[in-house]
Amino acid sequence: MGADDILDVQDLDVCYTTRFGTLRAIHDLSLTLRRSETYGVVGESGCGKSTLAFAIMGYLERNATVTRGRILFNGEDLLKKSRAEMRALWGKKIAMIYQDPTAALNPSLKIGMQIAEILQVHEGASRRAAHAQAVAMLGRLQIADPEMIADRYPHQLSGGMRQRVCIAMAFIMKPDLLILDEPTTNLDVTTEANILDMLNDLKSDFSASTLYITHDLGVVYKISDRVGVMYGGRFVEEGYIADIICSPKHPYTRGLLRCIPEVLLDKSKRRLTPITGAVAELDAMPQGCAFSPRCAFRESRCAQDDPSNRLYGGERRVRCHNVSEVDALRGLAPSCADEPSQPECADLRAPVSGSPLLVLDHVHKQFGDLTSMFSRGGVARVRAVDDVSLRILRQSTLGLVGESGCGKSTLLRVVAGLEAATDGKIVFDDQDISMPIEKRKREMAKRIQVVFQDPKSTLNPRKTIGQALMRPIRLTGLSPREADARTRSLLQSVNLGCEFLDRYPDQLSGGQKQRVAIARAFSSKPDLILCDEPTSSLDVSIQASIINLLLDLQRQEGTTYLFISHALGVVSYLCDTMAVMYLGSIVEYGPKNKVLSPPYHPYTEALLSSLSVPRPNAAQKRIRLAGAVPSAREIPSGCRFHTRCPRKVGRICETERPPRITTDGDADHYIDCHIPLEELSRVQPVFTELDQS
Amino acid sequence: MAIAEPERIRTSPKNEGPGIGQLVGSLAEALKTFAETIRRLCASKSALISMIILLFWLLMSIVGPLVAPYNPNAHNLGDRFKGPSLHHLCGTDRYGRDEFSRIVMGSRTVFLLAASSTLVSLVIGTFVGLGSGYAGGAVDEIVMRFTDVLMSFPSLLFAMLMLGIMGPSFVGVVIVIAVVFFPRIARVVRSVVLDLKTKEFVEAAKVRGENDFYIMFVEIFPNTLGPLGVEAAVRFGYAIFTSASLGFLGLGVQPPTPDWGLMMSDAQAYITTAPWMAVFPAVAIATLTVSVNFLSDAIRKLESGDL
Amino acid sequence: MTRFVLKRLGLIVVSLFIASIIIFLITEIIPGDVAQMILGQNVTPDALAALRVRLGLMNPPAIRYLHWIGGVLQGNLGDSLSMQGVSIASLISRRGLNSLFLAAASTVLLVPLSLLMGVIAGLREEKWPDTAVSTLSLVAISLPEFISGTFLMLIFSVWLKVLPAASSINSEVSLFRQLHLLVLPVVTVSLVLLGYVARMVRSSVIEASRSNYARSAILKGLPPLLVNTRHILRNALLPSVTIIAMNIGWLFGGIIIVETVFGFPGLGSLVLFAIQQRDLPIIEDVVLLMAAAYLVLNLLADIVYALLNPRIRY
Repeated sequence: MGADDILDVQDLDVCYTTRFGTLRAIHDLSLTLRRSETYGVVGESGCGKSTLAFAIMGYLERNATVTRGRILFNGEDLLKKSRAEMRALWGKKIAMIYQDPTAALNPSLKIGMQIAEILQVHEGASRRAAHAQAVAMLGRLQIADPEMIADRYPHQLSGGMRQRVCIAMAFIMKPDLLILDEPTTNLDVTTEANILDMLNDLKSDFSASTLYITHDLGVVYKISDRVGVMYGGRFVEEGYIADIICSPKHPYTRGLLRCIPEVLLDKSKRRLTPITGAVAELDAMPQGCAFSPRCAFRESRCAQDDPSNRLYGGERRVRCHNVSEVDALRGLAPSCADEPSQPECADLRAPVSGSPLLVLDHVHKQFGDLTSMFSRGGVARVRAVDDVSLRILRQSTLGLVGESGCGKSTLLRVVAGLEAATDGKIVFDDQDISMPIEKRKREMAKRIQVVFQDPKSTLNPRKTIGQALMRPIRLTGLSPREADARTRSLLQSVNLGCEFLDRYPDQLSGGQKQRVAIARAFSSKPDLILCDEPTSSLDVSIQASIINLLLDLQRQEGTTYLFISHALGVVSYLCDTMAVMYLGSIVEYGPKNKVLSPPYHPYTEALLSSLSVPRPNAAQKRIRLAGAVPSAREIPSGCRFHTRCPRKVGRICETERPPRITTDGDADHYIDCHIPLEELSRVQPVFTELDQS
Repeated sequence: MAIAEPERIRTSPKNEGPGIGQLVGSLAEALKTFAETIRRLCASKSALISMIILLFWLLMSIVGPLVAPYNPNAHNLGDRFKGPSLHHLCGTDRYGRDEFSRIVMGSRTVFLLAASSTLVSLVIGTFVGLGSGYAGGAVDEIVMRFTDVLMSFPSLLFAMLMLGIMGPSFVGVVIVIAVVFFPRIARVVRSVVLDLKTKEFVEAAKVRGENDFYIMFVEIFPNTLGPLGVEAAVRFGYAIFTSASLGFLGLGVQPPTPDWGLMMSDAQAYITTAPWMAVFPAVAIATLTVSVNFLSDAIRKLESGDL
Repeated sequence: MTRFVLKRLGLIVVSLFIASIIIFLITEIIPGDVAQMILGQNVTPDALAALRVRLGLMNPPAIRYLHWIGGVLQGNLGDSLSMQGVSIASLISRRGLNSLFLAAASTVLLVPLSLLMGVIAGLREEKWPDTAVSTLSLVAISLPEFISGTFLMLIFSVWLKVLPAASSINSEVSLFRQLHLLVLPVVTVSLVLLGYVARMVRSSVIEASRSNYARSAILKGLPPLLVNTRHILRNALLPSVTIIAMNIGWLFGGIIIVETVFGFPGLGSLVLFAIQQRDLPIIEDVVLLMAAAYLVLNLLADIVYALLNPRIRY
């Protein structure tokens, strides 16, 4: 361990004692963190990264113990310290920022006090001095009117604001080591970009060493210097982030990178390559290399011997028997016979021009908020969907993208018939379906189906998979025997075997549940499927297989998709046409390539530049939006984006609604903005490829 | 791989409701779950003891007439106020009636009363909770206000009033307890319904055009069985509690039906001279209510995964 | 805040009004002849008729209701039917104070004790204080008051002979001098709610200690005492106000039973007596009084809760 190392984890093993025996969650893990360095720990769910964070903090759950190894902090072994000694370190020398800021704050305590008490305890500061320092810290984190915020309670703050408070709590004592456990996962992309920028600034100002835990390779690229890729409780690859992305040496890292639907990647150019199989449960870990069951490069010795972490020049370590073979592949090209080739990209169906399948004509959805009747201001109207007009051609995919609260889910629910539109018309295949589902014709239910977001609640926990699928199939009028045959073939089409028929949802993984949900949606052979962020809760590799599944099924059945998500990368990979939504209305709409390149709506431009993409070969513009999304109860006058728009023209943006500009005289692509088209067209693209030097 | 096409496609039939096949299937499933629950409960010592005590009294109530050595209503003025002895295991009361026989026969009354009132309240409460929770909006508000009033109003006072007016009887007690209890059951069911109403599998059912009754009874209701089971066990305990209290006040079942509460009431006057008249019925009631409560606590822990 | 209180007071008035109608309907719409039930079977038709006139049964229900309510609002509660010439007001005032004392003493005993028990059990989860409190409270909520009262009586009065069995309060002597008469009734009344509140507080404390904000507090390096008081208990004890408020109704029932077991001269035993005797005016007046007390207590609890919970105040 060098003198410059803040943290030195050596050969760490952490085990859980459960009903099923002792399970090893962290396996022979070593990690060094230098002063003022940021080390990213990247892994999917279940890899043990949170366990690692809490092991270092010294706050594991009751049934977890460190069974081997040392954790040296500034030369001292933390594992040998007592609770009281650790308490002297917590909050002062080692601080942590968690994933859910709302849960991390005491709901009954004012913000100022929650920060000030750290100073009072560790420094013996007086109440007044501590309060002043707390307010100063809040101001430093770009919080407007910090004195007022310090006097508020957590429930009065927005999500991004709460996370800033947690960051203030962590930095206030200028700790040597900071551990961040996915702090931006629950935040919107534009808020996340701001927080990441702020973290970068604070880190350098305070010279803090940071351990940043995340599942998102893009975020890790933005914020860390070195990175460790975690799988099955161990690091499988470590090194500098740009090196790893440009030339990954471990099959898992390589597999991960090939799953990410980056912004400029298109479904017609390249197929996502999901990693086959699934992460093994802790009690079923293979004896040798943890990744071997899923590895395309595996040999016989991989299942027996767990490879050790070998050094590969500079800072690079890889835990693999076959590094040289993997390394021989340049970049992310496909390689051996086990991997599928990519002809399917060419087979994608083209959208059918002609009369569109679905037309939305000035659709409005307003909620009258009755609970606010008793508060000041009276009844507040929430204009969730405000004058939306869209068209979707047959066999095409319309991607609707927007951040939380923009109204995209409400729009989907109105189209599905789960809510009634307040105004406007919805026409499906030349039939009016502007009413909620109870009032529509029966066959509409068969022709429009939905795939939902949350795998945990998408299936009835009391029904087997077979029962869940049989019902909609029987509704199409088949006899029990025919229905049974169709259930089986549906399961096969989503790559699930017939053994799943008798299983209950709690026996399935998230990805498997979503497959069943997709099968269920396809059971009546619908013309239109509405997808409400179906991959948002899934790991990256699972997400890739679900996206591929959706594309394959679309190819076979000729289905039309309306795909909604806040993840711009996923949407832009999948769709043909894209619509960008902000506070209830569409601000830009058009063919994907036109929307993703100039001329942009300023919001589209900001969204694109806020994305965290792991692309060392591209420069990305850095446009940040100030403030938070206004409440849907008080939509700004004029152009609703003017409160945050970096390209705001002047008073006109506040007073008048922006005109609909069509580019190239082509009604297919429009932008709602006051800025003249020539000026918008002159804007540089957000992503520019760098020369390979 | 393509999705297989069936040979002929018929026109769709009317939307079927839940079929008999589904109900029978769920019955077999219910029995399996029941056996499994018992097995897991045995892991807890207190639950095991409680089950034994409960089984004991259940047995008493069934084989009562065979075990009771005397006719519970037979006056025997020669043997009044006798303490516990070999002839009279629990002594005699002021009419010379054998306490032991009265207690044994009284157990039957207890179980019949508690079981029937719990069952009635379960049925009413489930329908109210399902309907109100699913309907939502103004209907739900009104029903909930109403049940709130019923639930928090002093239940014993309410029961006393009703029985005072209707005249105390077996049926009267059953009705009154059912009326007092169903709001709590409705609350439990309603909270499950509210939680599930927004879940995606319910929305998926709506999107495929299912009608409200199907969603309520086939999709939602089976998910209420867990919390409902816990609440039912608790209610059973309180049914015993309340019916005994009403009996004590003279507002329960009337003589000649033997009732433990009534026995306690008779014993009040003689507590210093013939304390056994109070002790034995008190022990009977206490063992029963305490064991039922321990058992329902164990069931609750089981349901929430803490056992 | 004032708007909140005023609104609730208005609601209470409306509720009382509705409650009085319901009470009236229940007691007056009795199947069977009231006069007959009071006088019994062997009575002449003339006597029945005379009683009916006296009771005002000849008037239509609406008139009788207004008569009653009008009287109540003026403070005239009428006379007892079964006890000749006894004014209800005098009955209620004397007994009301006794019952109020019993209720107040029970509350004073049970609130702090149950909170303490729940907090200790919650903070020492799975250790012996928790097992003791959990078991005892489970037993406490299972025993009907007449059972626990009888057991206590058997132990302390019959066996140990340290406390009197009957609480024959002498109305001449001040209540405070006769406290030893109250010990057993007060303990019995509080037992069930004691167990219930202790259990609820315990689970609230456990939930708060498992929360993410408790973990944040610990990992800020705060000492355990501060974590327990400012973070865990501050949030855990908040619902206890609501819990106690929701179960106030239980106290009423408990008081009725305990007064009967111990012969305590209060409103509870009065109401039982009135029901057995079909003494309608007493029933109506006492139940209305109880309803009013219940509503006011609930309002107080709501005010306390609103004051304590920042999420409602802001």
